[in-house]
Amino acid sequence: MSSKRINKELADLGRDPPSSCSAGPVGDDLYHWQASIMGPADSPYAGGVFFLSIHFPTDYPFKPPKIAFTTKIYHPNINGNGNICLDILKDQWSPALTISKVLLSICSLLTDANPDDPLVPEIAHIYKSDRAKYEATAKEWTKKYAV
Amino acid sequence: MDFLNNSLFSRLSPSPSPTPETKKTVKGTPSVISEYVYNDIQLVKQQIKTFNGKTGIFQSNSFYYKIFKLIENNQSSELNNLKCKYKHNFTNDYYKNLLQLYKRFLEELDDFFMILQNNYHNGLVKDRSRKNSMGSRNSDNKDEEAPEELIDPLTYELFKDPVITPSGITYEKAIILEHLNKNGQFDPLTRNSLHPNDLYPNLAIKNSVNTFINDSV
Repeated sequence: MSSKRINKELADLGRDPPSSCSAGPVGDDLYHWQASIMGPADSPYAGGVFFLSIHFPTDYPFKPPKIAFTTKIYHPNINGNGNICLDILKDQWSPALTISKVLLSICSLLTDANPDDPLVPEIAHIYKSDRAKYEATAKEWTKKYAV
Repeated sequence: MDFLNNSLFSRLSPSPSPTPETKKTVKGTPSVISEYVYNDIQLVKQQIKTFNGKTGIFQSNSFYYKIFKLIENNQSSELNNLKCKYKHNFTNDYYKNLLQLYKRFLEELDDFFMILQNNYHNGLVKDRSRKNSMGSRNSDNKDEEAPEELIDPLTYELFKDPVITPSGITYEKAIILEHLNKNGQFDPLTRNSLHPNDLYPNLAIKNSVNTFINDSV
């Protein structure tokens, strides 16, 4: 059942692609995708293109896909390995969610970080105490790694 | 013949990779040239298989697969006949005949590949596979034409045994039970709490599915 659903999601992405992201299988393996997200205009990530890897578990959609950034990014909820701290990718997963919806959630996480549930406490601290410094560093990293 | 020579040298076989040098020196003994043509034959076969891998054309329409198998069988029996005729005594004359044979094989496979691609891109194959699936029972292709309310929101497949939750959302019974078992007791779309006992069959949707299936046959 999982491969059927993944194929359908792929077809839907082709038919009605989300405006700021794209996703598709890397090679012949339907369970391994690559995605890209354009940095939202109203965020310090604007102008950058961020790549992510997606691995579907065999019991997808009952279990969430494993998604990680492969492009370095300065963000309180994304660590150096690209792991993302996002509730819907963990205990708040629902099989009614799709890759398209998850990618859009990641986009809004870029615009609105969640410093109260941080994956990188140092960045979260700067985000809360010196917003200008956070934005400057995030812009710098975007320029350096995502342009 | 022009077509043959073009196809022979425009496609660079993976082995034994001809260098630009050998591309120019077209002329060689029939045994050498036939080896090149043989490589091209393998290449076209590989392309056909790759094309099938991408499009699933052989699965969706077995007619093309049968033709491909017929061509392959026919070619191998012709090859055997030739070998028998020369009693495995591989003279220059044998290679001349072999080369002619290989050239024709290549042409046949090229034609077949072209037909395959044309029919696929012009939608002939798709139409046919859809007709096939309509004739057969509860087929997958129907899901795409079905109205959205007859499709399970978790699997995107036509309902078989729809059940409705207190939130008013309909799911496929086996799938929603698996979700409740694996993820916890909540409605996937509304996140309201949901217990297996709260599920009731949605007979109206079940009837609509049956009507839809009967109408489309």
